[in-house]
Amino acid sequence: MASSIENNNEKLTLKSSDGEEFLVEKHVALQSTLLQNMLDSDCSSADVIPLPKIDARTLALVLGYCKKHADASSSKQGELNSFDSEFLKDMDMGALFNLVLAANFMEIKGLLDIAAQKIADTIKDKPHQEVREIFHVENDYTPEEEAAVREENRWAFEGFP
Amino acid sequence: MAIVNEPPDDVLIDILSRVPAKSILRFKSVSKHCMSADSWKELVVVARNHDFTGYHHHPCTSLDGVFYWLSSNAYPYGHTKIDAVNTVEGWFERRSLPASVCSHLQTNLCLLNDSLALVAPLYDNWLDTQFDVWLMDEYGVQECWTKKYTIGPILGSHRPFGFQPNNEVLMTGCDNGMIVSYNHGIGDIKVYKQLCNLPEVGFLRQVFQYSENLVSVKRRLD
Repeated sequence: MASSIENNNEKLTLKSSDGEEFLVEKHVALQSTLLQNMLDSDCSSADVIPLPKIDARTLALVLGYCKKHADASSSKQGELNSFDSEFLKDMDMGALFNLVLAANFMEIKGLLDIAAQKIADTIKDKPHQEVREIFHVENDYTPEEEAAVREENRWAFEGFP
Repeated sequence: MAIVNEPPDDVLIDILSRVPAKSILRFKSVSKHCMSADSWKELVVVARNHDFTGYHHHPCTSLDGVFYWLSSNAYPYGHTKIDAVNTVEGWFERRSLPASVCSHLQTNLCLLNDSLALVAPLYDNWLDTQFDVWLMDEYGVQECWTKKYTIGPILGSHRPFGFQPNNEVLMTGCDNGMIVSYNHGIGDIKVYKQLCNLPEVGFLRQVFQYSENLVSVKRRLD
């Protein structure tokens, strides 16, 4: 039981938060450190592995990424890079953020990196009011305090409302 | 366009750490609480079957989320072991030094080109010292230390405490308050006399690469 990892054709079943089941080849699942640790610690691959924090749409995206990267040993790094940027292209903020949460939970470092970077690139040129909306942050500044922070870093606000 | 769930602090920090400084400063006006998101976590590591009583612990060096330090339980520096705490996986381990490395006051752990390096005096001669530099290939295997090269002989009593980016070894000099750098490639010794106003207490133990960071550390101090 302990070392069933050698068999690459084995499959395991992942279950999303909304109850959809995904049949995944083991070598694809191993892209996730979380799943790898579960398999290493004698978790039976016959069991269905529930992922209560990840919905089916996000899980499908995550597994698409994992499959590409798991099969990529023979393909070129450049090809992977263009896959990565194409993969995230046109993705809205909500989907991106679900991806970050999923990658964080499943410990898929490469995916976490590119998705977090994509969000960072998106927000970096936005005015702070919009960033507040994106992250659902309530404004807890008094007008005086906010003015003081703006004054303190005035150069950073050049060209922003 | 908005994010549905509340972002956990560590994910938020990960995203914000990728944003340029100018944007970060602007985002300080998003929220008092949110942008002071101090992400210090308490890490509980259980060290089973290890006795810490009577151990003297040296300052630590960190690499890839693992903190390493030397600890010895015989006065002054005998029976030295290498302790390691993995802050990502949360384990503690104690390992022996490579078989031919002696535990000595001058033995030290430092970072060399993103590897953990062990610098140990070759033989105990206070007038004319040589040091072996060992590099760690992979933690956890007893034979993972490789002897890289030997420094010296250098006249006088020195204690290596770190490497410069150009592979120069920094050592304390014979006089108090003196730092010596030794370039292995050309055998060149530079003396930085009174490089800074060194405190008179104890030895120089470590050298750190300093880089600025915008994450504040104040919450734990409240």
